[in-house]
Amino acid sequence: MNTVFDALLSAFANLSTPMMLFNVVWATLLGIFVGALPGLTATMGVALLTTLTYSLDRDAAILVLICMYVGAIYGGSRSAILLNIPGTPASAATALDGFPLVRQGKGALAMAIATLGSMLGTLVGIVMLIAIAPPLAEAAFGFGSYEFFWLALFGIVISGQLTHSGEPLKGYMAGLIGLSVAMIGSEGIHSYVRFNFDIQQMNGGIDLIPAMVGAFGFAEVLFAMTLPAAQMVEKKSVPAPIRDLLKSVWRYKRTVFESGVIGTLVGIIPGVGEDIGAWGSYAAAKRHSKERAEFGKGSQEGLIAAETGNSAVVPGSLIPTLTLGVPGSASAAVLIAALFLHGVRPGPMIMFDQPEMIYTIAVMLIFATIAMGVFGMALTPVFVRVLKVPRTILMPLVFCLCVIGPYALTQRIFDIWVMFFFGVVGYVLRRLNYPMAPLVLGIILGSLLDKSLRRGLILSNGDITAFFTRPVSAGFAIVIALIILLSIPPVRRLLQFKRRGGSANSEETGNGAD
Amino acid sequence: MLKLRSVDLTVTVILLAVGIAQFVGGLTMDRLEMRRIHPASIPGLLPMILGIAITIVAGLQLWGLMRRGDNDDGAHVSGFIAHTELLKLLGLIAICAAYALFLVGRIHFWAASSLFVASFIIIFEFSSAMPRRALLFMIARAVIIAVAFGGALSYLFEDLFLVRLP
Repeated sequence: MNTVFDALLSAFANLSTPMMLFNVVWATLLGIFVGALPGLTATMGVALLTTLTYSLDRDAAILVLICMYVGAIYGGSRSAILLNIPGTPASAATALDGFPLVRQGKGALAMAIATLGSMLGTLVGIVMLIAIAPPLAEAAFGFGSYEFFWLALFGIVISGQLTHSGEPLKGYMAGLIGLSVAMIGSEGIHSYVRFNFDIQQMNGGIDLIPAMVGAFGFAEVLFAMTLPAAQMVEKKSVPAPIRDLLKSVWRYKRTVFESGVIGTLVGIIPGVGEDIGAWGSYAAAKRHSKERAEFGKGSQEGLIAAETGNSAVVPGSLIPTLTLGVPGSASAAVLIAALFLHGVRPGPMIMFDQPEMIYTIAVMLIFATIAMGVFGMALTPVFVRVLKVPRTILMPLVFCLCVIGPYALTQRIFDIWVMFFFGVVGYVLRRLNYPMAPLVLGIILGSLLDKSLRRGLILSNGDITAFFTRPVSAGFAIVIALIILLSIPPVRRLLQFKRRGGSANSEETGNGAD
Repeated sequence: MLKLRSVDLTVTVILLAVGIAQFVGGLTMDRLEMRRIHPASIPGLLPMILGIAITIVAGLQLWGLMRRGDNDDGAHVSGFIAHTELLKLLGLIAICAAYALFLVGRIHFWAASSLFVASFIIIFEFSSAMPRRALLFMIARAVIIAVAFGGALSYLFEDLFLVRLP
């Protein structure tokens, strides 16, 4: 306990320099604006900012990216509440009750509740990060090729299963596309060049940053420019007295705690992300609430659940990111690339190589949370003005950053082409309901999956049963098999039929051709 | 007018073809026998497995799409892409391609960026119903934003981050 406290104190002292605090201020503020502007997501913000952190030292670069991540997830609530348009997908649940509150003239209270909820959610997640990450990294230290193979597969399968919108096959397909992209270029065991199509630049593979900037940045530009513009609510809000705010939060303390835990746990699940954290918390709060009928009509409890849930995902998603090298969300996936760029190697060895890193990141999250709270409470009129920036001005600027970011990393024009290709493909796939998180996770986990599979087979002399006999491997294999089985429509229908005691009517059984 | 279901069908067929091609690619990939590597660690192993998986998933998707026909059950992608939206999208992709794939690397970065930003704003804010005065104001605003942004971006990367720009 003392060691943890000392590590946190030491990290706090190291990060408390004026320059670092300046970085916290601008990066969090920028993150809030990025999140607040519809069309710009947290993942995109982190991806674009990564390219601006090349010249910063390690701690400053990671601090800036974490502040951007925390700020952007929170910032999404601004446009969700004011415009009824979630700034990021993570804020979709926020809009359900936030916007009706604005229409009731309680806009200021809604924004204050969202801010306090986000702060508390992040704090719950930070406590869990500090508690869970070190033992998890220690447990993962005993992982071998077999376990890593299943872990990588688990990440893709669970992410594919949970991020699809009604079509699990599309979630799986997105993961498989990502894994296939990772197969391009020199492989990790014999350095054999695969699928380069005689293009020299593809010998080293497809870099994650250009692919992600394209899939999240350029695709967002295309989406934003083709979607109808939002209308701002002009109704004036009465400022919320602090007493009302604290009373509201205290009244829903159980919801806050429950949403914080749900958000963090959702964050731990690879690739799932903040939107699922928000919806999961919202659904749980609605189920337990005494004011269930109010949900969707301006419920303060619903608003606080959604905001606490999505913000708690941020520290939660960093738990597997840091300890297993498997990102908990799409934004955390970008963060992994940034961590590698700055010499941090996430994975089980982190507690051995850089034991202080987890605590340093926890303190960075605390700094970002404080900044988020201060700006969230103080700058509402500024946000309203920023939200009025027309997308015709904003989007070309974003696209310029999409072009220069990947180029700045490698100085190759080829990476601009990669970004462009992934942007167009990402737009088409997203338009067809293919989720992007499994695709990104596939690109990241592809080489781990490949190396672990083949190393495992070499170790077992080609015996595939070795992948099923170790306890952790067997556990992963069973879970994966169950997940895939439960996504098969006839099996799902059969289970639903049994659950209803065989009373399913023909109409229900005929449904669900997915 | 483009039916989203038709696009879905086309993409699924492409993915099916990709799956088969990937399997064949993995199967015909060098076995590296001369390096005496273990047959279980051949480079084509995972691509083959992925090829099979993509083929199966795309096949199931295709089967679902065909079986469902034109019935919209709400859970699946449906609707249309209007002609105007498609034109807007293609125009957008074209202007972005002109900047990213053609201008960048051929002329100085700030000039390319300024040209792109100004054109983008003017094209997407232009309306034939615009009075002459508003039109001139819009163009002037676009040029000022473009030059300021192009310059700021170049300064940020070239002078502060010491990145050699294309």
